[in-house]
Formats: sequence, structure tokens, C-alpha cells
Amino acid sequence: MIKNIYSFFVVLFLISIIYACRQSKPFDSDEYNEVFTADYHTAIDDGAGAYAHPLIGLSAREEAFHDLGDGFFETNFVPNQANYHASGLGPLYNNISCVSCHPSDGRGKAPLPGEVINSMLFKLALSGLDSKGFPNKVPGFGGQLQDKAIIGSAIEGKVDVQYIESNFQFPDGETVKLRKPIYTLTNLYQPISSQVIVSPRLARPVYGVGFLESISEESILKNVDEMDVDGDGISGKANYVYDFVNNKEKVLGRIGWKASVANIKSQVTRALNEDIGITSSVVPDEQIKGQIQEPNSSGIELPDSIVDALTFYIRTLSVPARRDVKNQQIIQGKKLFSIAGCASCHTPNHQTEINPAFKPLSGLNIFPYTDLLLHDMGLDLADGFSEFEAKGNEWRTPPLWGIGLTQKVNGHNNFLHDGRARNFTEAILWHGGEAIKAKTKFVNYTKNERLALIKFLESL
Amino acid sequence: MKKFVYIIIGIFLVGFQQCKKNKTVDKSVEIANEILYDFPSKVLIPNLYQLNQEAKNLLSSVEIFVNKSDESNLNTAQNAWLKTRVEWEKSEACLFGPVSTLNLDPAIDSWPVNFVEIDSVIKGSISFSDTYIDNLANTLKGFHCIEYMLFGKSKSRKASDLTTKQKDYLVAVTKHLNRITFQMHHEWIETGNNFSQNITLAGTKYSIYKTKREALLEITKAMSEIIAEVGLSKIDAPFAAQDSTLEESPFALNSWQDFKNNILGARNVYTSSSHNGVQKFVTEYNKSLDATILQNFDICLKSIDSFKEPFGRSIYSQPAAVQSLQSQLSALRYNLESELVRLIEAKIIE
Repeated sequence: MIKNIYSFFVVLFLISIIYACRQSKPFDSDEYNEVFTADYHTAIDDGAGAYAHPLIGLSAREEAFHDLGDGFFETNFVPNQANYHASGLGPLYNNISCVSCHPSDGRGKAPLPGEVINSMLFKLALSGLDSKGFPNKVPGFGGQLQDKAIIGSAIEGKVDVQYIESNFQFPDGETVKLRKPIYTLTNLYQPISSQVIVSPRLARPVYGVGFLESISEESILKNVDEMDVDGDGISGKANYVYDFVNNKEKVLGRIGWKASVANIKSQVTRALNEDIGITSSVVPDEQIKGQIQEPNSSGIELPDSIVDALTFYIRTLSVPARRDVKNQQIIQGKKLFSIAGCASCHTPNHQTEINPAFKPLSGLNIFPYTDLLLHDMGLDLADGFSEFEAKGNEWRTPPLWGIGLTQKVNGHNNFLHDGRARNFTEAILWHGGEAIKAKTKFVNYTKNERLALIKFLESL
Repeated sequence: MKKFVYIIIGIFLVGFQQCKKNKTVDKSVEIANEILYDFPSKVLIPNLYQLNQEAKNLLSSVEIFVNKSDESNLNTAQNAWLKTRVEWEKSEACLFGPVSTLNLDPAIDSWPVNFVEIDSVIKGSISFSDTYIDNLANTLKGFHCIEYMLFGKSKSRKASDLTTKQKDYLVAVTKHLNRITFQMHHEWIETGNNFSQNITLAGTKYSIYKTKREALLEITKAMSEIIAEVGLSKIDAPFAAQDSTLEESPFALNSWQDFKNNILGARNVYTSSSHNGVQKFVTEYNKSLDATILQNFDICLKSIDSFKEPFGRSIYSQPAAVQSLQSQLSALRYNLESELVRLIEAKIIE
């Protein structure tokens, strides 16, 4: 009898222990790692401020420098105004501060017809490249349309945005509306060449770029397969660009929609110059040099110390953690993402280079979901705009980390270089070129499978 | 053997204790529900409604001043600006949702005032239509532009200072402020774009917040962010640089009041005197933290009250006191950003 009672209690005890412990079952090791998108720096925040966290473990001095850069990222520039530190706006510009295009360190929004364009700009070029690989400039307009100007200067022009809608139907009957943008240059201050090529560029998020800058060249180049030797339909091509900071040609490009920028400081100084009209020691000439709006003398409008603070701020922004990695639907979505071949370009995992000079970004295991390489994305997305090695139909694989929080942080889900996609499904359906196989697999998934894949993207 | 049976029973009791955890979870969610239900209807929407009302009063006062430009009417318009500013600064404790994603904050509260271009606009021949003003850069309109026009540099404005064209511009930018504050309210109310639903229905398919915890953390982090901004940005930028030109509201000499209303806004989100505030959650699980938070709110507010000179002068005349206030704000920020956030994360599972 005692033996029976003993057995009964032992069995019940085991059951209760299993029940009590079931909530604390550890993550599978690979999923556990993926929660920590940016290694130990990962920001555990899924709210409106998710993109704005600094790296962990910065020294007090580094934190102060990060905060200083943060302040300048939000600072509004004004035209030459005595005794003010952020002076020198324009005379032509697209916006008055960094944060105006990258709200909450996140993504810009595509304008609706008639709306003021706030966080998207338009690159301009004539066909061909100059000796350094830059697109040929358009006489009287340079390389970018400045649609705003300080009072007294003539804007270069405006852009009228319209969308043509079409229906896409999945094999199971579900339909999705797609919109394709049509851009028309208006209010031009002087006639423009009929051969002009216009490339829209939505402002990209600025978080996590320091990690991308820290991936070793070797790690990026190992995925290059320009001739598609392995026959998987995915090529992957490196862009080699001009490095403004070091005045060096043929440097591996990693930043921007076409990987046309080598490093963060180049990006910062070019954006200051081309988007806000601010000169620095790296880019000392006004973007409108030679045009009638060019001022008599600008000089260097922003000192190196502030340029460095801005660069450091962006370099030390972290990335939010993934959410719901143990959700079965999301696990299934991740598998389907891989099966479809999305992960061939949106490479999940990289390591940053060992860098004794800046230990916070050294030797990290990160999950940016990009190979940082150029791929042919098909005619529908082609802008005909070449930059260095990147052709008109080629785009850099954009990182997907943190993308699932776009709606919460930025209030929209406008994706792709021109923001035409209004959700993940539309973004996938616009994929072409090398990505056509992956798109076709997605199209042929069942509705539940498609939903699982989208849920996975939302978890990033 | 008996002893062994007792041990087994003891272990069972521990097992049952584990099950009680679920009850704790339910209680925390229940409190979160009450806080989330009250936040839009009893905290933010009344604040935004009042903001829009004060902006309307400001417009009326400005129009009266423009029609009869005497000192008394200027003074009334100045006071209306100050009252509008109170509501705006309080609402800054909740800078998430439409005010952030639709860029409504920079549209009315950008700094610095772009004097050079405002002068050019006023001298120009273009009429100040709504569309024209909407399309102007943010530094040419908003609170601080109106402040500059009503108060002049260092509160030196006289009623007779403004030209007719300047007054026309003042009316146009005040109308713009009205449009934006109306939109802020409209974005949250049920009969408008109903962003409130995201808070009240957090954890359901009708909300961008997948869980109640997410929504509660959003509200909490917004509180801590404004406290951080006051200490690390609004006070620190002019103080660290010892440069009063970086002050946010220098024309009305109103910066201390701005800071105070930011803190009062955060305290209103926190406390539970007239509604279920975040405090309700804290008192349930950590009374000592609640006492610390309340005490630190009070310390910061009293410190601000103790300054006798405007902020732009205090950074030179009372540097130790300014630094001390920054430390107090930093302590409060730690309470909210670290301790309170950790408490919510630990207690609400879903």
C-alpha cells in the first residue's frame, strides 16, 4: 500500500515539475541568438523609440559624444544667422535637419499625390559615368533635385507624384492592389535636358549602420557570384565606389540604396551637402557649384568636430531585438523565407571584424538579413540610374533587421527605394530579376504560408 | 516513510505555488487594462482638447490685437500664448503615435526661429495663404515664431513695434498652429482617426501593440523620454555650451515653465488621483518605488521653482543649482526608464 502511495506521489510530483517548468523552457540555440539581432548591443525595445538606442558599453566620453551627435541629428539648420551654431542652410536644399528625413532614426514615407515631399529625394543624371564613377551631372541641376530654397533663391524644381494602380491575383484567388509611381518634374527654374534620368530615393533608416560598416570585406565578398557560377540564379555583385573621406577610388561600397557610399562619414557629409546645403572639410563645395544660385562664398559651414559627432552618433546606434521567435507560425515563416530563397540575398547572419581600435563593434555576431551586394531586381524596379558598378536595374539588398517595427516607429509600411510598397506583401510582389524565383515561390504558397512568412518579417 | 511522504507533500505545495503565478499575471493584466483604458480618455485626449482650445483662444487674442494694437491687447495675446504653451509642454510627455509619425511635433515646435527668412517672407509680395504657410520650413512657423512676434527679443515687444505685414504673418502662423493642434486631437479621438484604439485594445488585432505590456511600456517610456529630454537636451545644450542662444523659449523667458510643464505632464500620466495612472501598477507591486518616483517628481519641480532668474540667465548665475537639477532629473529618469520598465517587464507576461 505504502509502495503504491509512494509511486502515486512520485508520478504526480514529476507531472507537477514538468508543468511548473514548462514556461521556462530555454530557446533553441539558433533562435536564442536571433533574438539578439545585434549581439549584446541589441535594444530590448519594441516601442516608438526602438531605433534610437545607443550601443551598450560605451564609455562616459563616448556616450557624451553620441548624445552630442544626437543633438545635431535633430538640429534645424538655418541660413547664415549670426551667433548660431547650425548655420549655412542652403541656399538650395531638400530638408532642414537630418531627423526630418529620418524620423525617429527610421524610414521616410513616400508622398501621396499632392503631398509635400519630406523624406524622399530625387537623384538626377545623364547617362554614363564620370572618370571616378559618379553619374554624369545634369547641367544647371547637378546630381540631385533641390526642391526647396532659402527665400530669394530659386528652387531647382518640384516633383509631381502620381500612382498607377493594378491588381495582382494569387493562384488561390486573393487579390492585392499594387501601385507604381509616376514622377514628373515641374516648376523647373530652367529647362532640363530631355535625357535626364530621375531616381527616387526614400530616406533609409540610420540604425545599425555602424554594424554594417564593421563587417569584414572578406565576409561580404565571399557571397559575390557575379557570373552566377553556382547556377542558383543569384549573382551578387560588389559595388566599388569613391571614398570621399580618404579620397580613394575603388573602395567597397556598403551604404545606400545602390551601395554607392563607402562609409558613414562619407554618407553624413554628402547628405549634409546635397540634402541640407551644408559644406564641410570633406565636401567643401556647395552642391550647386556653377549654378546661378551659388553664393559668393560659403566656406566650411560645419566644423569637423560636429561632422565627427554626427558620424559617431550613427555609428553607435543599435538595433532592436526580434520578437516572438518561439511562435510556431513565425518559425514556419522563417523556414518558408529560406525555402523560397529569400535568404540567398537577405543573408541572415554576419560577424563584424575584430577591431581593437573600437571594441564595442568588434567581433560581433549580428543578424542584419543582407549581403550588402547588388542584385538585378528586374525592370519594374529599375530606375536606369547607374552609380559606379551599380547598373540601372541593380539594387543593394536592404537589411531587414528592425523592419517589423516600421509601422510602430514611423507610422507606415512604405518599402522599396521609392516607397511604392505599402506592406510586406506588396514589397515581395515587386521583386523581379534575380528575385523572380523567390517571388514565384511566395506567390504559389498557400494563404496560410504567405501569412506565416509575413509574420516572420514582422518579427524582425 | 512518513517523513518522505511529508517531503513529497511539501514539494507539491511548492508546485501549487507555481500555479499561483498565473493569478499574479491576471492581476497585472487587469491593472494594465485599467491604465490603458483611462490613458486616452482621461489623460491625453483632454490634454489635446485643451491644447486646441487654448490655440483657438490665442488666435482670437491675436486677431483682437491685430485689429487694435494696444499694450493691453498685446498682453492678452502674450498670456494666451503662455497658456497654449502649458498644454503643449504637458502633452510632450506622450510623444508617440500620430504626433510623432505625422511629424506634428516639429511642425509647431521647431527651433531656432529662422529670423532671416521670416523677415524675407514678410517683405515679399506673396500672400500668406494656408497652403503657403503649410509649405514653409518648420523654423518659419510654430510656437517660437509666434513667441518671437508677440514677445520680441527678451520680452521687449511693444504693441506699436509690428508692421501691418508682420501682423498678417502673425495671424497666418497662429492659424497654422490651430490647424495642427486640431489635427493632434482629431488623430486620437474615436470620431476622428481613433489612435486611442491602439491603446485601449492593445493585445488584439485592432491595435499596433501586440500585447498590453507593449502599450504600457510605450506610455512609460514616453514619460521617461521627456524627463531625459529636459535634463539632457533642453537644459544641457545651453548649459554645457554656456550659450543662452540655445535656449528653447528665450523670447517669453518661459523656459523654466516649459520644463516644469514637461515634468507635470509626465507626473499626470504617472499619478492616479483622477484616473488609473501607471502609479496603480507600481503601488501594487513595489510601493517603495512608487514613493521614490513621487518624491523625485516633487524634488525636480521644487528645484525649478527655486530659480529666481530666467533659465537663460540661471545657466550663468547659478551653475551649481542647474547641475543639481540635472542630477535630480537623471535620478527620476532612472526610476522610470530602468526600474519601472523592469517592473512592468517582470510582472506582465502577455
